[in-house]
Amino acid sequence: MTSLTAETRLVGSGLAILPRVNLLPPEIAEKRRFRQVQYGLGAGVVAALGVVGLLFLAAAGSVSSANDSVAAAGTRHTQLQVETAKYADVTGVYARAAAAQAMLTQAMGQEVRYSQLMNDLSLRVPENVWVKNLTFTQGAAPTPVGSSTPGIGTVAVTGIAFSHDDVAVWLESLAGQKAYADPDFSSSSEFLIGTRKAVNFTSTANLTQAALSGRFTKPAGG
Amino acid sequence: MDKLKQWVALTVVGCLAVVAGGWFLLVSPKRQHATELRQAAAVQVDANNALETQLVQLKAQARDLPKEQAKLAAVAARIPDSRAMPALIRALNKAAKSSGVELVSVSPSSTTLVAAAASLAAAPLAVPAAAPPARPAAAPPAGTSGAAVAAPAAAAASSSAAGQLASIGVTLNVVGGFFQIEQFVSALESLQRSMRLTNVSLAPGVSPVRPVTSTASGPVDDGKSLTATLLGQVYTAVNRPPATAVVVPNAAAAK
Repeated sequence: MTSLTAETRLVGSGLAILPRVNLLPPEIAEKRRFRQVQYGLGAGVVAALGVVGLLFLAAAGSVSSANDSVAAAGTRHTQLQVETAKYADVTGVYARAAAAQAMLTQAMGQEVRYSQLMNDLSLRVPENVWVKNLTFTQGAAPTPVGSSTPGIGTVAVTGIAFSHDDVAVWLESLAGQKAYADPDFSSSSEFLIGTRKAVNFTSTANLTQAALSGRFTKPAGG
Repeated sequence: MDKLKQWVALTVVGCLAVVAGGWFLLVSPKRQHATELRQAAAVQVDANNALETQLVQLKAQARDLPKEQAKLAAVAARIPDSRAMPALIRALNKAAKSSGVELVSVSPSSTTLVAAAASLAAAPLAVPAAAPPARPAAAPPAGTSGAAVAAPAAAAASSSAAGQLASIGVTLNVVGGFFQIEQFVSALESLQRSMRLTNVSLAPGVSPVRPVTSTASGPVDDGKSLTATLLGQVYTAVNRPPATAVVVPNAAAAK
């Protein structure tokens, strides 16, 4: 049953190497090796569990960190809301001021400065023409045939001139002012002043958008 | 040897099952939850950034608050919250005296709510004095008790933070020279209270209240005196909320 290793030789010292003798039965050796493999496999399973555990811990840490971020952002949001709420009155004043400005624009947006029109008219009345009656009326003016610009009102003038030509000059004078459009006349009739011939005339014109003052519609500084 | 291979194979399968199960049942849901939380935090941070921007704007607005309050006061002077007729009469008389015209008559009409935008280019007087009375839309503010606050169904006035715009038609008759009347019109356009003239009519005429040389056919016309009829509107804000003192938080820090 025992076996001696075949090699027996002398070494320099003269001692002989003892033969290796393995008395372990092969079944036992096999079982031991199998046990070692089992340990290795068990370690592998534990390692897999460990990996899963580590990943889970990392994910849990990430969740915790994200939770902290959410909580911090929520807290900041609450603080900002409280801070913003303190300025609610300021917003209210701005809203009221804007509404008041809109109201003023609504009321005065269509303002025409008649004093300026009167002044301009007084400077532009031609020689040999005298104005007797002058009426400005604001409101939707009829658009004459052939005209594309609707008026915002009308001006009606009756007066005296020396001749029909003077009436023509008067109408041209009106046409030369941007506040008026489509000047026209309804009559120009001769009569006598003492011994001098003169004409009575009645004329009209439309007020254009240029007649609007724009004081309450233009933005500040505009 | 076959047994060993079976063990190894089973163990490998088991490890894979543990890793896969752990991933899908434990790790992945956690990671998903974390992602959702991070997204929620990002949304919240964005909202916070917007709020911070808004707060900066509010602080800047708070610095300019006096300007806005001055604007409000200016508009309140132009469009008072009552008819304020005594002040109007005094202002008109002062304008007449300063321009040298005779203020012969002043005729205000009742207060009428102004429609949102429709009546801007309306006829000289939105509602003449003879307009049929309508039921009041709201309780008139102090100072309008003597006037009917008419609310025509067609003129559904818009309500706003500044109240509702209402107009009062005013008819004026003055006598004076052309340039005096021009000055008077200019003064009306510069009144502290906004007045919008819609009709100006000039014709030869003399003052009915001044003693003049008269003949059997009536007063002598010197050819320089004109009678002017002016139609216009002044405005009032109905139901304007009262001005309240505004406390700016931490005004020093806002600067």
